[in-house]
Amino acid sequence: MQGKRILYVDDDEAMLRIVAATLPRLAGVEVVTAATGSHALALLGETRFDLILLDYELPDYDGADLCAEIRVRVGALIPVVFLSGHEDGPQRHAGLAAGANAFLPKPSPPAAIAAGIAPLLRTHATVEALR
Amino acid sequence: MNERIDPYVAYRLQLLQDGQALRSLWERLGQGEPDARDRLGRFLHRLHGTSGTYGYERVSELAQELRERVAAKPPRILDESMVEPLLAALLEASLGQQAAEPAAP
Repeated sequence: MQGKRILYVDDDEAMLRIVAATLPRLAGVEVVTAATGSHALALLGETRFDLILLDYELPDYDGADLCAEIRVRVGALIPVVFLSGHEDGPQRHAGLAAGANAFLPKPSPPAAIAAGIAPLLRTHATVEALR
Repeated sequence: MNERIDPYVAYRLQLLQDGQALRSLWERLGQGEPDARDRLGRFLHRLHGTSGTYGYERVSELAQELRERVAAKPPRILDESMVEPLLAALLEASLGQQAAEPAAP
């Protein structure tokens, strides 16, 4: 997955640090981080991403609302994945209903996060190649 | 975010601060402060997720157990013995006495 860039959105700085430090090695992706939904939406207007990884609880956005807004702005093709401790709650259904492709549990070891996003990155690369 | 900081080193320092924050939140809960239960629940939710991601499985498990007790409905009576194991695990982890799981397989 070399050359791929993902956007990771989480208001927990320790989570931003570990994902940004480990996924380049484990998943071969560049990681751009944002601590708020507003910052994430601004970055989406400036930069092309291959996948978006979202926490569900953000200071300025509910995860499902942010996911829906992302779908409006960048369309249906880019994979959106939640990384959240609410994987067993109603948030999972709401997030998937808003257009997310997957819901990864938090905590997940960085290797499991890498494994979770890898098939979506591959599918996205294939779709992009066919466009 | 300062990307030059080793995230594992930075997180060990944060675990020490989290222990202090947990003690403070627990005391506020004991004093009957409004919203203390919700604030403690959110703190424990974050601690469960982040510590587990860093490989501190004992801290993560204890945070989740305490969170379930704090969030129980109807509210349960909470006593000091419920928070002590998590405070001890946070101190051990911050001192490097509880090894984090490796990040890579």
